[in-house]
Amino acid sequence: MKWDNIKLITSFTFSDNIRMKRTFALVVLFVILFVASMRLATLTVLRRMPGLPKALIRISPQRLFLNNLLSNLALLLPFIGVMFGYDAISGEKERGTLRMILTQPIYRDEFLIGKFLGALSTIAFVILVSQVIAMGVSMAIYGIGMSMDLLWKLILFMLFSILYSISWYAIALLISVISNRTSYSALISIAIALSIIIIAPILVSVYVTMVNPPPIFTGSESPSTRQNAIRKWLMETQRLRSSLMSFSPDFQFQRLLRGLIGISNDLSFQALLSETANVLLGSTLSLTYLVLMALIPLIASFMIFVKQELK
Amino acid sequence: MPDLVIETYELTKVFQGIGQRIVAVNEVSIKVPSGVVFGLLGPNGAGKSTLLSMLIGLTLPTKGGGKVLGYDIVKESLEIRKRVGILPERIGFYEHLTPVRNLTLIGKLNGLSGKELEDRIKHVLRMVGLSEHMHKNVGAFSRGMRQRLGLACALLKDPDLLLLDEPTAGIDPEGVKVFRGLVRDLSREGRTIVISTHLLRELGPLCTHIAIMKEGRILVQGAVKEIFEDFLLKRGFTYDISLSEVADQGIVEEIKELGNVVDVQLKGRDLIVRSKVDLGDELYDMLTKRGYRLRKFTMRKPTLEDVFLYYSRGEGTNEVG
Ligand SMILES: Nc1ncnc2c1ncn2[C@@H]1O[C@H](COP(=O)(O)OP(=O)(O)OP(=O)(O)O)[C@@H](O)[C@H]1O
Ligand SMILES: [Mg+2]
Repeated sequence: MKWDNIKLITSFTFSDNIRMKRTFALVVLFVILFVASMRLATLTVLRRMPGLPKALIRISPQRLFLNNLLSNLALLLPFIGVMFGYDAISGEKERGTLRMILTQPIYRDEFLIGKFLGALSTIAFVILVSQVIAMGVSMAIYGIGMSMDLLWKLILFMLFSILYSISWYAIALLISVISNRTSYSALISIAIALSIIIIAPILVSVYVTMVNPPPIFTGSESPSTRQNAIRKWLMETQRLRSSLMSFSPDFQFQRLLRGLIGISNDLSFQALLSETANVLLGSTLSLTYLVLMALIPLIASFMIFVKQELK
Repeated sequence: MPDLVIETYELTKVFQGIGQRIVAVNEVSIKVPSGVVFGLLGPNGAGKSTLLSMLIGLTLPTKGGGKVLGYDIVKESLEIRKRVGILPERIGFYEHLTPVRNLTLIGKLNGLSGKELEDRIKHVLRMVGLSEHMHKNVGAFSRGMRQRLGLACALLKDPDLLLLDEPTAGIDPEGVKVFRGLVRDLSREGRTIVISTHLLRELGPLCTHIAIMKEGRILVQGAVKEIFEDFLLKRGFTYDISLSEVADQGIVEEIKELGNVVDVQLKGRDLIVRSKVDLGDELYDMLTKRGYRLRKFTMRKPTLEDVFLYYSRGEGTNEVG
């Protein structure tokens, strides 16, 4: 394998991706969503506590910001991955550029590694830019101050966001390797993303309510009995939902990042590190799951691509 | 350089689909000598592109093997791709980039860079007649212009061996003429050029050597001159004669008495004579001795199409010379 070839394809793919309109659109979309949801969140807090003076909303502005960032990332990261993956190979097959490249002195695995590294750097770039803008907006409008622990959390957010997005890229890449048409690979990748992120949670909710219906009261129970029954029902609902949703990368990603948001503030750097380590150890399962989600399709893509018969 | 730049033995490619099995290339053994213009001729689906793909490691053979420039087509295909200029079938380019940027990528993959690469790019764009369009995006190119750019790609590394799959597809007559000139120049410089095509009339005259391919098999291969001689020997000679006056039926019998005559047709003043051997002189003498004046006396020159049709109907044998 030759590094020169890999580097060449990586930088070519990166500059190609960066120039694409979809990259710009993704960042713009992210910023719009982020600003809108920040606004919505502050309004909701205000409405829930109508009597409170506005200043008190800042009880935990950092948490508000991070939660918002998380829900927006969770929504957009899969699409960022899919966007750069769905036509990575099928597009090159369709346009004939794959044939142009593979008739040159380069091995197929060098080409695919270059493609992957190019996408990785593009995705990292998009996430970095988005987060920096989101942070800037929040500092300017909502007066959130930068602190060491916030910066640390943002860096962790960034790393895991890249990992999560890459796992979606990997799925789209695999489909793109298998298929010969971009329209087909786009359709399948988006269908998979939509079913896991939007449809699966709805189906799970419906199913959980069916097997675990809310308690029915006759009116003669004591208030504490009622409260206990409701608590039990809620816990059971929660348990069922978690176990059913644990297959979902979206669920695992959010679980991991929620744990990170929960790290206490104003710690010394050392304490910050050890608490982070604790959180990560506690989420080994989520982490392993996300890593495998990225690795398995990537390895499969490689194995198929190097042996594939090109049409 | 070895005497044979390309040599394959029983090269076979089977595409195994669901419920179907296509033998695209069937035990093909070809030999391409150094310095020739080699035409790989055959109808659509004959297996020409699959054969070329195997030669450069784009697809692996199911059976058999071969060497290109002395390198094994399975184990050393990278070495082959380093040295051979290739125009694959249906080549595509990055549409939002200029030809120069596309060629830069190709050049870098081939280890060229800097001023040397820049000069080379300008040179090949001039060769294929795209100099005026070098700053347009490829997206704005016509089909023929793209094909010319494909040729430029193949020429970029200044290779001694070129494999061109349907090089004139989509190119206008003027461009085809330029292409023929280009091939002749390259050939004169001692390069070997393999052209796959079904356009016998357009590119046939360029070839010094040909292989006729059909349904995955090579039906005949060798030097064009020898193939034509072989064709004439097997297929016989045909003379078109036109007399100045209407001849009587007796002449037919007299011609047949010359021997080796297969068929004589007389229609008024026109005679068509077919024979196994060259009877030109004898026929001419006999007719003039009989007092006929000849308004026309020609031996039919077989065209590449005649040869192609003859061998592809399975009437010829496999090897010539
Ligand atoms: N990747 C593939 N998978 C399955 N079958 C294939 C594949 N590539 C080619 N074939 C089949 O192999 C046969 C030979 O195809 P090939 O493209 O080599 O012919 P060709 O001589 O180049 O034809 P053309 O003049 O149309 O370019 C055809 O029957 C084709 O359908
Ligand atoms: Mg072909």
